[in-house]
Amino acid sequence: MGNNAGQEKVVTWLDGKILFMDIYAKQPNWVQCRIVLTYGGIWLMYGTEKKGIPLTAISSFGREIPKKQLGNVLDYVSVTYISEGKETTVAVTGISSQLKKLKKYLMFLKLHQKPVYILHPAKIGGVIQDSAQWEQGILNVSWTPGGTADKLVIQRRSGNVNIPLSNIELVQTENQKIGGKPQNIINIKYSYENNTYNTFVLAEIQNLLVEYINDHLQEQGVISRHVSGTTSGSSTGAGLDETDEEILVAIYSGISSLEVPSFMEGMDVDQVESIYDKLISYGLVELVRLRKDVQLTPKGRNIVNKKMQA
Amino acid sequence: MANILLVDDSKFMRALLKKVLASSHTIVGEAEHGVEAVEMYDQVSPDLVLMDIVMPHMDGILAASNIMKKHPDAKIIMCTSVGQDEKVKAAIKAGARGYITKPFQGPSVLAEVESLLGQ
Repeated sequence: MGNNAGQEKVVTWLDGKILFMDIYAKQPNWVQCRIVLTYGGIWLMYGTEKKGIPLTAISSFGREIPKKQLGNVLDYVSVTYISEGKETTVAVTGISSQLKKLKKYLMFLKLHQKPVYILHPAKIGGVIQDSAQWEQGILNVSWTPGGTADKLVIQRRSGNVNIPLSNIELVQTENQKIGGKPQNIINIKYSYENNTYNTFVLAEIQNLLVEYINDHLQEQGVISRHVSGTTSGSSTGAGLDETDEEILVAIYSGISSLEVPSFMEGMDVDQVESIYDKLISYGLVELVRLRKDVQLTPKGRNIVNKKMQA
Repeated sequence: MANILLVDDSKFMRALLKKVLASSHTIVGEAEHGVEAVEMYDQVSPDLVLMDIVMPHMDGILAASNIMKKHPDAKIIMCTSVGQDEKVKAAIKAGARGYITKPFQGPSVLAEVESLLGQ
C-alpha cells in the first residue's frame, strides 16, 4: 500500500465516523472520518490524520466492540488488523447501505482469488465419501444483481465446485487430522441439485470465509446474530421443543410430511399439523400444498352402492 | 433384502432409520446401547449393523470392536453427529466399514447400505 490514497484505484468510499477499540474507554469517542477502500487497503482520513491499513494486515471484520464504547451506535463494521506487531480494531459507522457495501467489498477483496485446499465432496447426504482427497484450488466469490444467486466457486484441477450462498445451511470450524497433523478446517454444508453436500476447506482466509458466509446467512434470516460465531444452524433457542425438532429431522431425512403423523408415536394428524403451522410461522418449513381430507356425501355413497350392484 | 440390526440410544433415531430402510430390508433387531448390540449380534446374525457412536453403558466404538473380534466379517456402518469425525475415524480403526453423519438423508443412507452389502 502506498502512502497516498489518491495514487490507488478507489473501490468505494464513505463519510462516516470511526473509533479505535479501547477496552478501558469509559465513553464513546467517535470521530468524523472519510473512509476510502482501495485495492490495496483502507485509508482513514480524520482531522489532520491519514492512516492506511493494508488489506494484507486485516485479519477480521467480526470483532464486537464493547457497548459502553459504542454509545448509541448499533450498526458498524469492525476491522481488526496488525500494525507494528500489535493487533488493533477500528470500528466504522455511517449510512447503513454504505456500510454494507464497504463490508461486502472488503470481504470480496480479502477472499476473491485466494488459494485454498478443498476436500469435496466430504459427505453426500450425511454419508462420508472415502474417495475424496484434499486438493489445491482457488476461491472465487461470485456476485449477482440483488445478491440472490451469489455463490462461491472453487476452481480445482478435477473440476469446479459451486456453492450457492443461498443453499448453505451450516458452516462451522472443526479440528481434523490432515496428514497426521491436527488442523482447523471449515465444514460447509449446503444443498445443490437435490443433494446435500459437505465440503471441507482449509485456507489462510478461512475465518474470514466463515464470517462472510455467516453474514449472508444472517441477511437471509437463516441464523440470528447471537448464534453465528463459528457455528451456525443450531435450532436451540428458536423456541422449539424436542418434538418440533424431531419432526424437522424426520422431514430432512426424507419422511413425507403426510407420513409424519403415523411416524411420530402417540401423535395424531391435528397435533402434527399444529406443529407444521408453528414451523411455517418460524420460517423453518414452507407450505407446498394443502392436503384434501374428504368423506363421501349421500350422492357419492349412492354411486358406490350402484357400482357394487352392477 | 438384507437383515439389519439398528443400534442407537434414541428411540426416535431407530424409528427413523427403520422407516428409511424397511421398504428394502428387514430390521431383525434394535439395541439401545453397545452391550445390548454385542449380545443381539450373536442372537440374530445380521447382514449389516447401523450403529450410533455415543451411547450409554458401552459406546459404538467399543461395541464395533467387540463384534469384530468374534465376527471378523461383520459389516458395520457407524452413525454419528456433525463434528465427531475423529470418533468416526476411531470407529473405522475398530473395524467399521462405513459411516454416516446425522442428520442424514434417507436415499444416501440406503445407497451406503446397498454399497456395503454389495462388497
